[in-house]
Amino acid sequence: MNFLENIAIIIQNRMRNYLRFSLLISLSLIFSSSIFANNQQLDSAQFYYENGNYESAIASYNRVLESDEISPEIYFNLGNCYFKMDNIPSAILYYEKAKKIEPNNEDLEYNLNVANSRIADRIEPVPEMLHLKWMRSISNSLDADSWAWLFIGLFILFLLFLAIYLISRRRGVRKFGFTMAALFLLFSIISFAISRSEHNFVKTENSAIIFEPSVTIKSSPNKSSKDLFVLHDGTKLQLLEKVGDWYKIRIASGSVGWIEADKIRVI
Amino acid sequence: MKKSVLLILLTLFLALGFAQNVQFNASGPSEVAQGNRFKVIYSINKDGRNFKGPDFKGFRVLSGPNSSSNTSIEYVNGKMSKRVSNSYTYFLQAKDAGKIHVRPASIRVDGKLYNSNSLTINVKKGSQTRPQSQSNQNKNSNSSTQAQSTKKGKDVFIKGEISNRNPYLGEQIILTYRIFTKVGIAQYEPQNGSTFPGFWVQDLVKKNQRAQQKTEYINGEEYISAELKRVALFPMKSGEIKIDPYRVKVIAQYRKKRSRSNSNDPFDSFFNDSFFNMGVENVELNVESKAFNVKVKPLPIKDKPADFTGAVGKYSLTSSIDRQELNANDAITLKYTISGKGNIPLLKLPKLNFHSDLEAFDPKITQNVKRNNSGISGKISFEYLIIPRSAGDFEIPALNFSYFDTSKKKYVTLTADAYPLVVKKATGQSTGISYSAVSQEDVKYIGSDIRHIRLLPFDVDKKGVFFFASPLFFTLIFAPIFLLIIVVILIKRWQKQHGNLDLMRNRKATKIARKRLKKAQEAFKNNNSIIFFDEVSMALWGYLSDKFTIPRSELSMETVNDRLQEKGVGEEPISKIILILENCEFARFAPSDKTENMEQTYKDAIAVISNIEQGLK
Repeated sequence: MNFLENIAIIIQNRMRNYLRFSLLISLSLIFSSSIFANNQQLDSAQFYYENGNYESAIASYNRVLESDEISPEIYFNLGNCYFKMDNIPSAILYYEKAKKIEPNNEDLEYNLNVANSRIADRIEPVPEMLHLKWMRSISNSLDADSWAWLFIGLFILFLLFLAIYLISRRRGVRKFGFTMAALFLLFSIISFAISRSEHNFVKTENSAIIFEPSVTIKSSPNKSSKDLFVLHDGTKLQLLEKVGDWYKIRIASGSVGWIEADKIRVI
Repeated sequence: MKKSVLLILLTLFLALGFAQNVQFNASGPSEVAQGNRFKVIYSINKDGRNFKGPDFKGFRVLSGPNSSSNTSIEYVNGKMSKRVSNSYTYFLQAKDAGKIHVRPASIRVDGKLYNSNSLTINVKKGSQTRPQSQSNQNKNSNSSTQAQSTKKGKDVFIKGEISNRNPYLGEQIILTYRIFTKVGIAQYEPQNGSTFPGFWVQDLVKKNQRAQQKTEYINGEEYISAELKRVALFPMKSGEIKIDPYRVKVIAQYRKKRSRSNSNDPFDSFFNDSFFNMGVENVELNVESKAFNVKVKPLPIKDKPADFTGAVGKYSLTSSIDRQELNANDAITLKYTISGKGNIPLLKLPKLNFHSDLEAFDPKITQNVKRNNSGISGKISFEYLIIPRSAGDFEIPALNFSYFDTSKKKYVTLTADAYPLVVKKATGQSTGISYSAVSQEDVKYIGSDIRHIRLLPFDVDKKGVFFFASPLFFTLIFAPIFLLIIVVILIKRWQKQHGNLDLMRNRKATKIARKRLKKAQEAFKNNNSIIFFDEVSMALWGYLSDKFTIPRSELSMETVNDRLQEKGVGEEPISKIILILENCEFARFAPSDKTENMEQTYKDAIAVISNIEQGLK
């Protein structure tokens, strides 16, 4: 009896090991197959879009997004699908999502402008200070990761010139090395700062799109509070803070108010 | 027996009728009211004898047969044709109610017997033409028209007819108003009816066209009817639309009663008929029809073509083009014609999108609308003048014209084919249009749309993965720092081991030379010429070796000369230093009176070293 039990235990152990091994293999297979499946989904989504079957294209893109994969191109294409289906708020939402990751794409900018011209609210943005505008256009010219790479490059250059300064025996060379090192240190600090702020911007939820046909903006996070103004679907809001089910928001014209969280979708 | 005789008679009659064209007809009303007077006329187109009328059972014969004859002779192209028409008229009064059969009359023409057709007259009960009291009232008729119009409503009335009370939006319906009268009408004047709110109206009766009169029998009473108005209506909105009653002011002519009007003589009342009456009285009456309610159905939304522009009816589409091969700047005429029945004047062509190099002018629209009793039909043509402004192959796109077919109750799309155009280059000045050397055009924007999707391949990343603040990011920052520290340390160490010796010697070269020269100075004071020259020569050789990194083993006049030139020392100091060195060698081995020579050599050596130092800076 004892002997038989032992055999059973040994077999069980072996089985367990075998199972563990096969699980590992299958996991790795699933992982690689999910990449393969995503490519197929993207392929078919493109095909659907080109044939005017926008709903199927959206379903395919969403399946890719569900697998926790992300790319500004997918958001852009989803925005196009929704635009073609005349669902302008969703189109704007996805364009804005793409813009968050990839702030400087000409096609995206164009389509977002077209979509924004179709919404009900026309808000005159507050004129921005010139230096802020410049800074923003500089920081928007690259996305967060590109800035990070630029920082790495500049930092390495700084180190290189620092090395020249430290090693060289010639006075002129040392002088040159020192100036260049100081310059590149300054550049790399700037690029690091921009990268950091862009990175924070991408990671935080700081703006949203209205999805209700008509929404009244309140003066405080309370339904019985005073009505301030009315906005319509597709309008972009800047989120300032959240209290319960209410968001404090600011629109492009600078007006501030409160809106219920279920009437908007965060970018 | 009777039947066969009749049949024989009929065939005979037909045969003769064909042979000689004898037509013998009876005509009379099909319906009369009891007590009413009416005419029955027998007419024949030949001269006949022995006219025998029927017995008119159930009717009272008021007079007749009254014969009348009418002969007309015509000469056409030298041929004579004679037309005869004879008629025999009976004036009858209906006595008994019910369907009464009037037997045929007979007549003999050229010895042959002809029978007319028989008549069936339906005599209706009761309705008297005009009660006696009313005729009394006629005398003071002009006093109150309103009262009379109600009383005399039966004498004159207007009846409206509408072809379809439940049309589709834009479907043509015909509205007709007829006036029915028993009395003469001197004048009539419509009070309204020029506008129909909710409809687009087309008059179907031409102005100044005389209304055709007809005799009609209603409830056994004889009326003269005439068409007052006939319009085609096109509903412009869906839902219930009310058409107001048609009001007409009528001047009716009633006869004047004679003094003996109360007599019971039947002939009296007969001759009192307006036919024979000399005096008439004009009575103004306001007559109006009933109102209509038209329920307009909206056009179905299902399957509505995108290019539908509101055409309803039944149409056909033709297109023509005058040429398809031409030179640039020559004109083409393109014509689309839509013909059919419906709201032709309202038809619009869908917008044609010509290639931007084809200059198209607004189309010339010509309508040819026919109005007849059944409504509006006709055709409308759109003539485009197109001028290609550059050479090339173009296409005039196919034109789709959609309409709602009311009979099939569905949308129909007609298509005119596309026309390919082959445009050759304009033949220079012959076109008469001169362009500046290069003709450039602005890009024409035809439409706008969002940009196309981003196409594969593109990278897809895991969500939430950023390069910034990632392990790789920090590695790429700190690894170069470590590398830098290591490299700097290593290089410094290596410099200490190798480079420093030469450097030190270089720096100390002048110092050593000075020391040696000091020793030489001491020797000079002691007047020890051998040691002096030795020291000076050593000082110079050592200096040159240290300063210019020349190994001692290689020291010679030539190498010094080469090396100094290489380092950019001027010609003068080189020749001077070599001269001093030679002097020293010479003095060491051939001592003589040296005091001046030693002093000179010492000064020269110091001068040449400072000279070289100066030159190197």
